[in-house]
Amino acid sequence: MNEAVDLRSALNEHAIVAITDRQGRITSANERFCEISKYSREELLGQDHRIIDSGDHPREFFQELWETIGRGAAWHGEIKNRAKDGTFYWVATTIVPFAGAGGKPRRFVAIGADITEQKRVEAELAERLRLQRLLADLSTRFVGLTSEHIDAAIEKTQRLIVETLGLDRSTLWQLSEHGEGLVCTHCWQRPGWPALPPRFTTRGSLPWSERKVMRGEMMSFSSLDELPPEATRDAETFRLHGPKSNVTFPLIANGQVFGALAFATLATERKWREDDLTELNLIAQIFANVVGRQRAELREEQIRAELAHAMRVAMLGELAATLAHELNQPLAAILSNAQAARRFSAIGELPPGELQSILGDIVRDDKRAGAVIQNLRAMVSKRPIIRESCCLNELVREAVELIRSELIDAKVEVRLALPPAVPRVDAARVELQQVLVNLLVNALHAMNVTPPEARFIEVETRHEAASVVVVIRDRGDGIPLERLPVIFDPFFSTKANGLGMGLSICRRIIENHGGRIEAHNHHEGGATFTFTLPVRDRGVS
Amino acid sequence: MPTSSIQVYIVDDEPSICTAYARLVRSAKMRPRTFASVEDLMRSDFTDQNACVVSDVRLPGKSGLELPVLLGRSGHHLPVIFVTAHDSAETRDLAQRLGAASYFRKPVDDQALLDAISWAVSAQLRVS
Repeated sequence: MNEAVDLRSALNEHAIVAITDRQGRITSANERFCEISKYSREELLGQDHRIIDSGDHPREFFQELWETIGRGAAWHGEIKNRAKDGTFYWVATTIVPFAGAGGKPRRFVAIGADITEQKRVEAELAERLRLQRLLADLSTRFVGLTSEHIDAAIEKTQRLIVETLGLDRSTLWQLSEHGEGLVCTHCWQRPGWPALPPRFTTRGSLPWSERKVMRGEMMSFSSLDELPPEATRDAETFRLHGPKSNVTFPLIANGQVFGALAFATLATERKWREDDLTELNLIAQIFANVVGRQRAELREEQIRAELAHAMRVAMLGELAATLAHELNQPLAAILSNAQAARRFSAIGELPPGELQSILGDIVRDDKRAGAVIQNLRAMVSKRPIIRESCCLNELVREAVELIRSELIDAKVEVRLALPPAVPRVDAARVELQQVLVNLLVNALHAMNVTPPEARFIEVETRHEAASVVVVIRDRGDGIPLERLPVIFDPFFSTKANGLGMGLSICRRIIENHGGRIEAHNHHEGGATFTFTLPVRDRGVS
Repeated sequence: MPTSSIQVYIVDDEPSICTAYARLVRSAKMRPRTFASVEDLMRSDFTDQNACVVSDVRLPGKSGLELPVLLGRSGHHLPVIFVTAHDSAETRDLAQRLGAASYFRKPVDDQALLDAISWAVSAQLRVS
């Protein structure tokens, strides 16, 4: 008897206990029940469990519960309840039916343990897991995407992150080429929030954040109050455009900040946990990779266009004699035809039909001259080429990158020996690119008949006195001796379809830059092209 | 010496130029014959009598500049007048040293060319 009393008091000490009648009305609730539900015993008695129903369990959940205890079996399960103050709590519950007369349950005793904390940890772990899965997914998500598909993928990913982490907005910023600071290029936010203005920039509106990010530092606040006094302007902007809490990561490629990835909450403030920041930072790094690649592709595209343009312009210069000739021929014919006609008519001895054929020829030749001019105009465009401080190692890498697919197709390997200490030169980037691409493509073509396993191009840069020397060597058959002296002359070409302009353009570009270019055959086989450029003059002071 | 008997051999790879010069020559009552290359001329049955050559310099095959030497070597006495679009001091010097009768830049004025032809032919007559 005493044992039963002891047991009951021990149970009350440990567990949440409630007893209900057959209809489910609460007839008894212990201290812990009242404590966790925040209802007084008086409020509970006579009520059924709906008073603490969280509404989160489906109808079938309770149907199964009642069915189990209705046939006299005990029910075990986890129930999410709602306390009087609206907060939720989880109870691992066992309900035991006690039979009365006729074997039907007379009352039910529910015993439970508070598992709210455990549930919270579980939920957090689940979120962690989702985030990690997301991270794993992200790193493969962008693989093989072409530039035009990346934009869509970026925004889709921003959405995924925002939704997974329960945030409201993610913005991607990229450094403007026109000195406007960071410009927002991609934004995803939950519907219902006012959109950011188009081409929103940090310049003037977020000076403190911009400086911090451009220094390569992460910037975060869990509430606007956390912003330092020097960020007053930023705080105003944040207030105007919504973020109640925010975290911004710099995007870095080749040691330079080129953008930022930001996450914000708009509805409520959010305390950023260390784990959040670590994982978001990882995400930012993946973005840095992807966006960096996209920017590089864009730049490559620009280089290609500029290169093509420079080629045309240079070709025109090189072709000046040819073009003059092309114009001169019809002009010469027109003049002689017209003068012949004048002479014939002056002496009154114009042969029959002669005038018609003379005029016909003049018209034809005039049209031919017009076509030459037309062509010329089509080839000329006006973008100016400026000289700047260039790193030849970088230019070599870019040139190799530009012809990468050709190298792959031709099964040619490029071996680079580019010591980092090579000084910079003052040069027109596009023109040097053109020289490098030209020499590389020549080297590649020179190995058409070389066995694939022996096809490689060696590119070496070195610092020699006041010059930077670039050596490009192939493993082809070399240059026939009789061609060596004329190889840089215009119109010399070993290619049936080539204009023969390539190497003469190269020479002109190099000499324009105050350098020299030479070709010779390597004693171990293959052709070697060497050019030098004067080291950038740092000025004497 | 009546000009009607002057024979002018025109060498130019551009047919429209050949046609135009031939007309000019005819309008001055001279007799033109046109050739597309040095080789074409050398293969043909031409005579030195009262004749001269008007030739381009840059031609497919042999250069026009070789004409004075080739003609001389094959025993001909035929003055050569050059008319070229590729005018340069070097070419001009070279043409002169090789014995060109005259040297013109394209486009050439009718009177200058016709005078040069007459002068070259009469100079040739004086020599021979």
